[in-house]
Amino acid sequence: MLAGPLAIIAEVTHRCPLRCVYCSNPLELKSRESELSTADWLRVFEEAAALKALHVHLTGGEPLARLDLEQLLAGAHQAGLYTNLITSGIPLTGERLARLVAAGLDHIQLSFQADESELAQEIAGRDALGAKLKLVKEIHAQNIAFTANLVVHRRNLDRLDSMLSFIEALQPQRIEIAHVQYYGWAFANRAGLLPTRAQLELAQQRVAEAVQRTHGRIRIDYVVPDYYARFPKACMGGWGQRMMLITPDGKALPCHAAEILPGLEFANVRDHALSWIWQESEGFRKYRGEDWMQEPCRTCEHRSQDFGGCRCQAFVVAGNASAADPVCHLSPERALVDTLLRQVGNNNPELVPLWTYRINPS
Amino acid sequence: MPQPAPESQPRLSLGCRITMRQDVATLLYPEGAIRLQGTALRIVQLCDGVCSFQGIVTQLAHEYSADADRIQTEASAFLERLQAKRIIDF
Ligand code: SF4
Repeated sequence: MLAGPLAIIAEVTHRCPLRCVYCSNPLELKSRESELSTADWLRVFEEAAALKALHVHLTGGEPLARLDLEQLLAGAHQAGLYTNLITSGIPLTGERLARLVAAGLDHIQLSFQADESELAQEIAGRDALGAKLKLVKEIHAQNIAFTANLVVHRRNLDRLDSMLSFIEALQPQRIEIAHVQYYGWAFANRAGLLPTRAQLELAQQRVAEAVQRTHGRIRIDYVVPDYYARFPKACMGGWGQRMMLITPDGKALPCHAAEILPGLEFANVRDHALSWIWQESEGFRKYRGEDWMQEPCRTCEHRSQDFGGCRCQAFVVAGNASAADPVCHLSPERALVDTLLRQVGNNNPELVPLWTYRINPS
Repeated sequence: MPQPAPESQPRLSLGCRITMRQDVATLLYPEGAIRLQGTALRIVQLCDGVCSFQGIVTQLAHEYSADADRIQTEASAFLERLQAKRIIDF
């Protein structure tokens, strides 16, 4: 029997007050009018719990833009799910935070763009650092479990030392340091975001030191950068193995970017039960397991660990969604990634890239 | 690495809780979950922030009719691992 999804990523809206250049949302954002209703989401959470899902990650866009977020949280909590709010914290007052906790919020993940306003503003397209710091005080005052998330890339990695002290001083239980993954808006801004090899090596060392330094105080999770690796990431823990992402308008996807894959239909939770979508729908079955694999994955000894990497990356970089992830050093298309990295090495790091800022859906 | 002191009062950290579904106990924490059974489940249940680590060991030794020194070593290593993940505080 196929096990159900372990976690549901609920993209409850694509609306967002920030315009981050590394946003993983698709370029084609869903409008407010197309969003699922409160009742739709509550049904989704109940069905997810019935499939034995454990966590729900409420994200967006900015989930706070949903005025019914309290109801959504309460519904997820009552269904028995662990609720994680992934937020920019804009705008979140102490009063609303208290209401979210009363509704059943288990944990909040707050993202930071940098440790100083100017750079944070360049990345997020808006000055938000002061408001985030105020919110951290509220989080502590209300005794809420808290992860501070820092997305790192070429433009902020040279400040990693001061960013690490900054983020440790916020005293979260957990820190997530995540290299940008190149999907959605981040893919559009890839040239400005890709770190240099020197930046990367220093980052790995500094994060390892931080893990030692904060042992027992803070748990640090590090999301390694993709393009420099020899092996690809085990994307989403395998296609249709652990995660189900639901877009604001109700499409159920195996990952953030799956909608870009050509010729693949994804079912909508408005029309189908979650269990059917997970077990039977074409979208979830297409790349589940190993039957779809080509060489070199088909006979590779690593295929049960990395599942051939990421289908979306294979498509956007190599033009073939069934190919090995071109990040893999065994992929015949690895040269495409290496060419990109060489170009990055030649860029002038002082130049501010011509960012494509994320827009807001109409 | 810090071990729980005898008089410390281990408790689940913020944002961590045990859920029971169809007789399966799962420890939920940010970005993860551990299925608990047997002694491991009992230890975590006893981490209520009131009972001392010494008290937990005594209780377990009694419940499992086992040698307290051995229980102490095993429980200590287990709690240390959970503490490093910020699942248990002591
Ligand atoms: S060839 Fe395929 S399965 Fe083997 S390591 Fe590369 S991506 Fe993974």
